Amino acid sequence: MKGFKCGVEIHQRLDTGKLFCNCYANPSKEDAEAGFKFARRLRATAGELGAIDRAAVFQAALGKTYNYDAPLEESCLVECDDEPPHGLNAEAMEQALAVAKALKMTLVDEVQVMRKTVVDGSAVGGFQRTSLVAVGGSLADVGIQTLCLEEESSAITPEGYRLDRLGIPLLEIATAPEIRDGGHCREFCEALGLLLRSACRVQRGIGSIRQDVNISIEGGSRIEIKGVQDLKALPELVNNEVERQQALVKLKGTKIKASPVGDWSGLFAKSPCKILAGKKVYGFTADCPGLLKTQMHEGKTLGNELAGYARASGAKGVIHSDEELSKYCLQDFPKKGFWMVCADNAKALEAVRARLLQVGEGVPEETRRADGGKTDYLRPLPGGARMYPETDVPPVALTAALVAGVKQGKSFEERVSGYEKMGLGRDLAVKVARSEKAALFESLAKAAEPKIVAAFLTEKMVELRRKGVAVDEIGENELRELFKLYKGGFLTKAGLEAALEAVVGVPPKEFKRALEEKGFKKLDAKQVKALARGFKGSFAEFMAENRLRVDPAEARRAFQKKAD
Amino acid sequence: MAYEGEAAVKLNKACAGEGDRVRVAKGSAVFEGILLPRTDAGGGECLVVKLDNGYNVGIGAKGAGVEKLAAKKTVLEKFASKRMTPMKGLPEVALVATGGTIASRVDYATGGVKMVLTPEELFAAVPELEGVAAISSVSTPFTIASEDMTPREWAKIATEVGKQLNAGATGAIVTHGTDTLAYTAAALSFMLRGSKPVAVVGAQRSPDRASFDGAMNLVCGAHYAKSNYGEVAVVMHGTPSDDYCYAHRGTKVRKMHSSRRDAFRSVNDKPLAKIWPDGKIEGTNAKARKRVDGSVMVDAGFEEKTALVKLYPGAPAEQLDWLTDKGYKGVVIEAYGLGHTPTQTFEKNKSWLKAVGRCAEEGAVVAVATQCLYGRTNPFVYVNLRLMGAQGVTYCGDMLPETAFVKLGWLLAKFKDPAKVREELLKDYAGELNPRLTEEDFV
Repeated sequence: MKGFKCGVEIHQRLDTGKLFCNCYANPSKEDAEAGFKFARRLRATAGELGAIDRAAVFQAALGKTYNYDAPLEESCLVECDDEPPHGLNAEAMEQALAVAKALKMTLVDEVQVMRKTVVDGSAVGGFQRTSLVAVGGSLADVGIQTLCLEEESSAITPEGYRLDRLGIPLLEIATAPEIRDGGHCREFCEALGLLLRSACRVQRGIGSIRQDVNISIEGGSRIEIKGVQDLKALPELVNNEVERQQALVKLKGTKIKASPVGDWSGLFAKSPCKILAGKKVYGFTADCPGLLKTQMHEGKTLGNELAGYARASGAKGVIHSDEELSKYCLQDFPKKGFWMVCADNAKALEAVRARLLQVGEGVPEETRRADGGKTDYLRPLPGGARMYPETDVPPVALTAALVAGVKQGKSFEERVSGYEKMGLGRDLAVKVARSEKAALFESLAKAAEPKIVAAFLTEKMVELRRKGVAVDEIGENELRELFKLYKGGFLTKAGLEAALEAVVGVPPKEFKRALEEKGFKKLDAKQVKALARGFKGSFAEFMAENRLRVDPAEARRAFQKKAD
Repeated sequence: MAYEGEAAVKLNKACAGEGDRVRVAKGSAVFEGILLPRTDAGGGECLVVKLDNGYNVGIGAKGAGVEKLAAKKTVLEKFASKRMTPMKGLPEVALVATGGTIASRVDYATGGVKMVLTPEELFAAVPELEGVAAISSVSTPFTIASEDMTPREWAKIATEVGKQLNAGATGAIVTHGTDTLAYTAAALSFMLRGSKPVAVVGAQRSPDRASFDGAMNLVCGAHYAKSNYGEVAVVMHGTPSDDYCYAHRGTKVRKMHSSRRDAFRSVNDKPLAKIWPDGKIEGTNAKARKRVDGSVMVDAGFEEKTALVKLYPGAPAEQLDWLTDKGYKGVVIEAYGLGHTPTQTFEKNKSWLKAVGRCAEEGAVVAVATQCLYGRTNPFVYVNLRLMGAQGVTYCGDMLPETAFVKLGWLLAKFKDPAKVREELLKDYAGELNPRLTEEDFV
């Protein structure tokens, strides 16, 4: 593809406290609880060079009031923009530095926290705090341009936004435009995802990692596609965007004249079209019949493309003469030539009309939203004026001592080979390194044989969860105590696995007593021998009855002796 | 703060200055962008560059190569401004701007928030104000943070507001920093003798933020200034939402939170009104004073030798002795509970009885308000109250300590006789004394 340029930005949530306050939240794990409700209006403001960013103007012009829900356990006055930010979370900075080192990046000497204008309401203060930590670097064959540490935005709810997510530290890693195609894009994102999970403490689960893809082609423009979550969709997404830009490039030079948007309500007063009948309907005509049937890519026409502009301005959509009108019962509509209508929202139709008149100019710079392999218009691409300094937070000097104190994050391969050295087989080592239990495994590995700990965490616990056992209530301390009991000979291996279920809700120091009461205590050689002697049945039957408290090797020896 | 040391040397050598486009190379990394002024938060040897992607970064000058790329200077700190065109048919409202967060924005030189916004720049941030009231006059007697304000500035504000009200303005808006805004509101309540609405408004978030709360405060303040109320009121957010403001009586209001938008609360009284930005006003206090058109007399005297002293366990009475020695004419003691002060301490010298007695004997007025803020003082319930009463203190009832301080200073400038001042202190001038406190008048 001639002139194809593609780079990605990966946003990864860190599993530390929030970036500028003392809250912690992991929205992919916790069920959201309703909290304190409030509503705010946001205004467009000037950046430090005096310019008002065009994306900010667009959003502020919508004049929206935003509703917020602040869960009291996972957000505080800082998220509500009712208290200045606290200092930048040092733990989150450590994670960023570990990743920067793993990507062989150059650190800046002083991190300056910036306010990135965001007036779509997702940041209560009207800006997201972000800071550039490192530049330059590479992973595999792709150059890394920047690594930023920034705040996560709020979660969208049907009523507005929820603030548990707001302020969670995010690593934003931007690559050079060196992605070759959709397949390469997917491969790279997977590799970077693995590295992040291995090199630092990240949150896991839906939404904890997101990709933004930037694409342009010769004659096209830079398009930012936000919020790709499913890496499998990347190849299709990239191809569709290339085709979309190619289709728009072909339309360059198209000259269109359109009537002003007018009130067409009269034409629809008694219309058979249920969507429009009796509504305030706005419409315009243009001299471009058939144009909106132009295919952008498979499953998307220019008409669909333009409707995205109406949706971005709050309308449900538009109806135009290049569509199959019988589906709206409008086949007998009296207007000839090209026309377009929209119910109850003149502003939305104005936006579509303006975009239609721009068709001859080619590809406008846009931010688009990913929806599987397709994209939809979101807002104009923001310019550089959207950043200004966060004066409430002093700059953070990355001193030599601070940087030296941070260990380079391990690459995925380094982690796997480390696990192999601990005695794990390759498959199990990869499984642990990929799983969200890697940190827990490393912390518990010495509590018992690493292999047993690894299998227990990645297999047994999953199995128990499926069975409905409340394994999430079993924390690190509980697990450590169980492994200690196993290592000390109090539990058999089978007993260890079954014990987990038996200790849910029991404090660790009570484990021994509780397990003894429930018959988990491992029998010593003498006891096994005595039990075997009086047992009338086969070895298999004996084990089936006593597996939780008898070591199989011990039992075998006892049966051998009995036979002798 | 200017660049220092190696940073200054390298910039000089490259003939590069703030606003120039520069290239700073360090190791394998190259940073290109606009050189920004040095912030005072970091060291002076770190070059701050605004990169093309919008980020500012600090690059230590040590080991860095600096090159000027383009002489073209970017003009920093240019903000939109708007001149208000008074709309015909709208009531005329005067605006007196004094500084504070509402007139502040990011200052790139210091890295802090600085008061540099002119009223015209503020109007650009709140263009809808034009449709609410005809801002007939805009004056800026001074620009100062409210923590730097002294009673002298109260007099200047009162004089300016009085002048505008007498020149025909329907009402006035005073923009002010929030820290001592309630003191100024109390001062204006006493100093402006008349019954026209004056809204004192501030902001907890500066106008350079999209979440600027002062916009709604200003709009609601303008609605108040053209309303039929006849008092000085603090008009600020009523809730954390941008839904409505409260107009709090100027003598019964206090900043009760360091950072929330709805930091101001009426104490020992109900707010005068709820005001929505669309102009809806709901009265919430039956005793609110109504507008009386006519001239406003300005009585802006204030005895500067007036003090406010807060008690704490072990507080040395020498504080009061010092004030007496310095010739202070009035002292408000912010005492405990019902107005309790240390009188029967184990260590005799920790009792305030003698010091208060001496202060009163020297001719000063000693008043007592409660640091509980809510509720009123009582001269009789406990023996300590009576002991101190016998020394000549005046218990201020449900007056806020800050209001008592302002009122005492104002009365001392009016009346020379301490006995008269004590008598007037307990006379209600501007709703500062509420004779009836109900179960509803508490947090």
